[in-house]
Amino acid sequence: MTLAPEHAPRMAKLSLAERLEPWMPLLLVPALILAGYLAIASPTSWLTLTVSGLAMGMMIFVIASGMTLVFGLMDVINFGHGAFVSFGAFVGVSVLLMLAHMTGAPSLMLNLAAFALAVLAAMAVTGAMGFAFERVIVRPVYGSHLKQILVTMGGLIVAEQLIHVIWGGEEIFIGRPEMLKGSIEIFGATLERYRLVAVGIGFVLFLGMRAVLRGTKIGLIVRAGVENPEMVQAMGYHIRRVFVLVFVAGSALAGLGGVMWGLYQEMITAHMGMEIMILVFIVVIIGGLGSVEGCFIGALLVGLMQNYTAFLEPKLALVSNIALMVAILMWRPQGMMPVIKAK
Amino acid sequence: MYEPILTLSGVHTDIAQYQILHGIDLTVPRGQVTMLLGRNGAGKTTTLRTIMGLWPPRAGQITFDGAAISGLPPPAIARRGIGFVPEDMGIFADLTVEENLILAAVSGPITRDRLDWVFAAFPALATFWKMPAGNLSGGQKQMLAIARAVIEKRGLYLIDEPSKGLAPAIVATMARALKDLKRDGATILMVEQNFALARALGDQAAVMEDGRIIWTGAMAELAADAQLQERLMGLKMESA
Repeated sequence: MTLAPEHAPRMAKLSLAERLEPWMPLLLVPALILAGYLAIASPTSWLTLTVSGLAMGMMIFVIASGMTLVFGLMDVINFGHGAFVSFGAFVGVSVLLMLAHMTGAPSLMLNLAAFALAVLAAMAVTGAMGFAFERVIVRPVYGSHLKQILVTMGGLIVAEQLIHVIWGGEEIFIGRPEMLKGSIEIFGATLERYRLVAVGIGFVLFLGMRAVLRGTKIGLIVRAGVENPEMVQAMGYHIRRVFVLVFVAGSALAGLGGVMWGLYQEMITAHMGMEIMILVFIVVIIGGLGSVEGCFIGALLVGLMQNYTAFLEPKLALVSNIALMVAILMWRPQGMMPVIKAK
Repeated sequence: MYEPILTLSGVHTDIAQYQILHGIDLTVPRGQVTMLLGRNGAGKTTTLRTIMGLWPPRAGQITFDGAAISGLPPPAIARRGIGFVPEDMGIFADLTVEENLILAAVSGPITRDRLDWVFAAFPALATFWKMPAGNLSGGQKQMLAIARAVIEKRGLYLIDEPSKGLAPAIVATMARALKDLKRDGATILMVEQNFALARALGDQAAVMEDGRIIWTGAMAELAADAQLQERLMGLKMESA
């Protein structure tokens, strides 16, 4: 990244346990997958549920990643984040409906092109919405959590009503692009193609975000800003501008998540964003405020837990995630990989 | 006579409903080390934070290098060439030593000569180059805080209590680095409670009490006058 020191770097004398301790949360995902394998008698059902859980987790991660950074950078609790999910879904689905000739064609290239256009449109609209949302709704209430909750919740309601005005009050059913329909069989397990694509998109996005946050100067500014925004300012960086950039990017990612979630459910409603926000908040809290890595692990845990429990004991599906949150907070009260301390 | 690089005229600063600075007048000469001394709660840290724009002044003028900076946001003040080492060091614990320094170099990549200077002054930073800064000891964190300020040449360094809570050996390392910086012709405004360190580094001194400057003069004059020290700061010094 920069000039390497001529001195040979060496690690301080930490024990193996001390060195591994920060990475312990990483073990939770394979541990939960193993627990699922032991609890679910059928290996094929287990594999199907695992892929489904990972796909769900990836989509929640896409939605939650921007929110955790927004919370970390400017201590803003944005209950309106769900609005970007819903709006993204509606814009994306509208584009897909307009491109029905491409989504209906038996060509993977055409299907993916239509999907990409829908995603780009959704991200552009929700990114622009995020910019306006930050200026009009969030900026006047910096520093006051109570006002932020009230005013962003109000923003969410307004956005939902706007969806009703533009697209009507009914839910919209949407079919997936032709080549993303159906499933493939691996080791006797039936795996939906779309879920595999969702896992791929989520993983590539995670790697991309990590590369930006760890390998670029703007990423360093964001990470440092999450930890100590005042010091970042005193070094010469305009943290407000960085925050607006992150807010817009986070909103655009929520829009992308909305398109993915809509196609996953094959149905979209104006309040779908608000509904998924429960899981998103659980992920942000258990991941640790401001941590993209923690958010990623938390999202995978939530997705897997939801799918395993829904199979084993459907009534406990949501409760299981709250129990997961309680267990993790008892182990690590600040979340798995906190960048900032909860205030 | 040294030309002033920083001037504060009648600076008043409030924090919430409390008035902390009551009309500060201070001049920092270019190329000199000015020590800001005084009892706890005298307003020393507030003065540095006011200069940086972190607690903007309610009234008064601050001029740096011939231009008014009072009222500017902190990033604009920093980019005019002021490096800041806060009392709590402001280290980014989640970032590595390398990343902390890359971030501190606001105008571009770190140059080899500045990096060599930093490694010569603080070899521990080279040793723990790839380690998260949160894993460093208190002394190493302070070294990193100073290294961040000096990784680029700046017109003025504001350093708030660099020796606070550190072992004597670490303070000695710090003092050597700061003397080296001084030899390079740097201008420093430093808050320090350790009078021995202040005496060793300072050219000028300003003593604060209750948010006001109550004495300014040469550090040597203050260091030589035990009665003056006792009167201004309540210090009872052993003979030098």
